[in-house]
Amino acid sequence: MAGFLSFENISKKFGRQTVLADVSFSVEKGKIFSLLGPSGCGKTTLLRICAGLESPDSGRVILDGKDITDLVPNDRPVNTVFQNYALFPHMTIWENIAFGPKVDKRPKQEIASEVEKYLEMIQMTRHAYKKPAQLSGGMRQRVALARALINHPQVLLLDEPLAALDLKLRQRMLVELDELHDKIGITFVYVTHDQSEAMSISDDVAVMNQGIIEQMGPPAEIYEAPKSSFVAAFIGDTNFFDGTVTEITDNDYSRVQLENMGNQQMLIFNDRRLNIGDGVHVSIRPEKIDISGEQPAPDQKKNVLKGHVEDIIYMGNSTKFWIRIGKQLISVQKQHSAFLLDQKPIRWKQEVWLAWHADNGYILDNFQDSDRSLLPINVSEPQKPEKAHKRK
Amino acid sequence: MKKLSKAVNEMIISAPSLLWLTVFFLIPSVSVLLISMHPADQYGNIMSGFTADNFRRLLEPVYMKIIWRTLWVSAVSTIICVVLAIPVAYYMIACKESLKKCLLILIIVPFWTNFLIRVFAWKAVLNPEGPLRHWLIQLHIISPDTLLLYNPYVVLLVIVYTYLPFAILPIFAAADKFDFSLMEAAYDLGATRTKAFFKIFLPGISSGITAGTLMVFIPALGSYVIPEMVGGTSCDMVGNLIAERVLVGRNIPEASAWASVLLLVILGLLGLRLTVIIINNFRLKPWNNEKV
Repeated sequence: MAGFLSFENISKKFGRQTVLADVSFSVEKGKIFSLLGPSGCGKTTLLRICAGLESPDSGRVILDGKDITDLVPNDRPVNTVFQNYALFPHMTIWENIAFGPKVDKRPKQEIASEVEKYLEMIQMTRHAYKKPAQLSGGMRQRVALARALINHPQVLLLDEPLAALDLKLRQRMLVELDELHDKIGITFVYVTHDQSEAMSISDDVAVMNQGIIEQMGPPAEIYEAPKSSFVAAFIGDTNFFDGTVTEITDNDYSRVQLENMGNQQMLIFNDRRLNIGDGVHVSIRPEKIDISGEQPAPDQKKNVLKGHVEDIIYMGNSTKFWIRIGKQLISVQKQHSAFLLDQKPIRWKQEVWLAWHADNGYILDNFQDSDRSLLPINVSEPQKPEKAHKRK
Repeated sequence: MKKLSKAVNEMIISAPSLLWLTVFFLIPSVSVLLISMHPADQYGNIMSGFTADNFRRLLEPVYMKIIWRTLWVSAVSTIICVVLAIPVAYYMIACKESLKKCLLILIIVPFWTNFLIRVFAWKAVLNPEGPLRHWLIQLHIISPDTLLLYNPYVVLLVIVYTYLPFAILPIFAAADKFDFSLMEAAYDLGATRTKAFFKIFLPGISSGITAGTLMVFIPALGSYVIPEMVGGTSCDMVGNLIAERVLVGRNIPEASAWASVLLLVILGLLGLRLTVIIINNFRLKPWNNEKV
């Protein structure tokens, strides 16, 4: 695997617990690469190994053709933005930013002009002589960025840089980060547990779970074509359908019988060379399913199933429906086109038709039953969600 | 109504400690200062009228020597205590929680033995007839005519021994709260371990170092028992002088003058510290933030 920054067969244990199990991947130069996963999946450990704050039990870290595995942190051309920013509380903002160049023993004149430059870049010149405790979260985050970038790292490591900020600020900082990346063009490795952050900022995402990389690729590919039940359920919301192949209609499609749903049939795109009798697990995103009070016109490549509305959750920009078919609850998300001008509104307990194109069902290569717990509602077992009208 | 009751509440809450400090600290200190400015009759009683004679006597070379000795012994023992305490604290915070508790207890354990007995034990250990001196002579580390007792260095040693825990405890408390991700940030920004220790760790525990310094320096300055027992007659410190003036010389005003000197030295140090804090605070005031 060739790349600008490569991790080769990294393993790490803390005591008896395996944190990283033979992880390999590489990051292209100048890209934003995200490590995404739930807490404890090993993403931060991986970042710390890259920074030199942790050493792997085995495996190598290669940066620009050089093996940096055994270098101490201060000899690595990488810098980190820490989760809590780790600004030095006894130093002013100016001194914080100047710390790297100072220990690097750059000439005083140069340090001063560089610090001014970076202060300007983060629009903090006015606050240069304040201490970190006097700044807001967003300001501290920018100082942490400037303090890292002033050292001209080849790779910038960001450890959940936005986790401490509130939602609106997080969204704004995300845009700022992206713009900054476009401006300076160095490689970013971004660790987060927030899938929307990773989706919006990254060129590539590696989804991690329990010390391994489940899937790696561009955000759209990860979202649209999840390889495992974990990726499908961790990123966004989804529905899992469990069934058995009953018919291979042509080279591309096959028909699946859904036991949980009263043995109804479903057509799916089949690029896995399935055979009749194979068990399959299919993931379908809630927004890919159309919901309607009237039976839609039949279409050869469309699945049309009838069900009952069990719950309706209004979410502002969209509405979420829970539809029961047999033992299965199906989550469906519908965007509103125009308030009060939509089709006839769908009511609670109403009979509805679900329809989706066969191509929207995605067969999972790797299915773990436990990943069902990542979904908002366990879809295989009938259970009554709280009724919508009682919420008021 | 609410605001008033809050103020009253605060007064009620702080009254006992204020009263305590006034009765047992402020009034005695001020009276000592006042007494030191009165003349004494030949029996050492306090006379009316004001005089600076008591302080003038302190300037005599014999006494200046004692003041100088008191200052350097206290200062050097404070420095040694703090320098020893920092690595101890640094090591302790890296320990597991259970071991940390064990070590803390071990540091406090010596206090279970009476202070006098511990100093007396030193006297036994360093005794001219004792085994330690005997071994040191046998190993040719000291010459046969060297005494281990009755010199300023042994006073220094026992002061360090006695007050080391007072330096360790506040420094440990500050270090325990220190955020070690700051050290990682320093390494990440290119600092070596040594540099990070001096530039980040030490400033980070400065409050503990200040507290430890005061906790050692103040009692060391007023040492009386230690120089009396292991220092002998040639190693008098101001504490011994005060005792001598009160018990033997019978001159209360002069003893008060000596006590006032110690008080002023400590107040001077605290004032210095306060000035530094005020200057630092001033630097952080909003009107001072704009770039010059």
